[in-house]
Amino acid sequence: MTAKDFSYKVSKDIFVVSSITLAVFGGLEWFEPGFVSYYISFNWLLIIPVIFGTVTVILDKNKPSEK
Amino acid sequence: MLPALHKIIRTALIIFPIFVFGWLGYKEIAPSGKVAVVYDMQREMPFISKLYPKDRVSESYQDVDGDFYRTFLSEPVYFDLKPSGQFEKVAVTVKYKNGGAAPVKMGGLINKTAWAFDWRDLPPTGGKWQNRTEFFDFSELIPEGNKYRLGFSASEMQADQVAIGEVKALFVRPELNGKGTANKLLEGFVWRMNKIF
Repeated sequence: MTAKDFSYKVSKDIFVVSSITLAVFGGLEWFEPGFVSYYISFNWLLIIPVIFGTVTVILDKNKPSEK
Repeated sequence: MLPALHKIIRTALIIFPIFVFGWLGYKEIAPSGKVAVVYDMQREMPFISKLYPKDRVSESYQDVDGDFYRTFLSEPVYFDLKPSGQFEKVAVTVKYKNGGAAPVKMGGLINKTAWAFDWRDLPPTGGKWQNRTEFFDFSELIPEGNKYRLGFSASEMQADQVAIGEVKALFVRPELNGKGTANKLLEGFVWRMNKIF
């Protein structure tokens, strides 16, 4: 595994986990207002998947073709 | 080396949100039965709203000790308590300064149609800061959505005569201990279901 592959995989994992976390915490917040937002800012929960989604796309484009 | 590191990072990434969920759950359940929150007139808090309406309250000033306060420009002035979960009582401690001769009243909304509050007197302080704690029963207050409205009334005051330095709320419910914990958690869940549907 090259350093580029490693960065891509880690970035993708962060994107996937933070997206799932955002969806789950969003659901919990809808179910019980304040459960999440009283302690954690949803701005941060939203920013993390956006940043790592963008980084993943950029790293994916720069990856050498596997074909 | 890198594949092993990737595995470690992936595991940590999966564990971290679970840990955060557990922490949020612990905060929500509050096994001690007490949740204390403070609104210091500067930083906005999720459990206590700012004083409103805006045009009846001054901007935030800072005294010589560096503590923030706001003064009343006219009255009545309100604030909301937004407890997360089911609580029985709340102890509201107000740090206030009343330079007038008549007491300021503080109370919770108990009848929305008649716009009635169960007023409690906050006596004059001669312009000095004083703390006063009043207890309110949530079963007697009228909820507006997930909030409870409390207010201050000072019909004889002049602008800037009354100042509020801090509002502290201690939400109280029975402590969760080994016996009956499951029942109380179930009651809390049923209460939430009733609120939603």
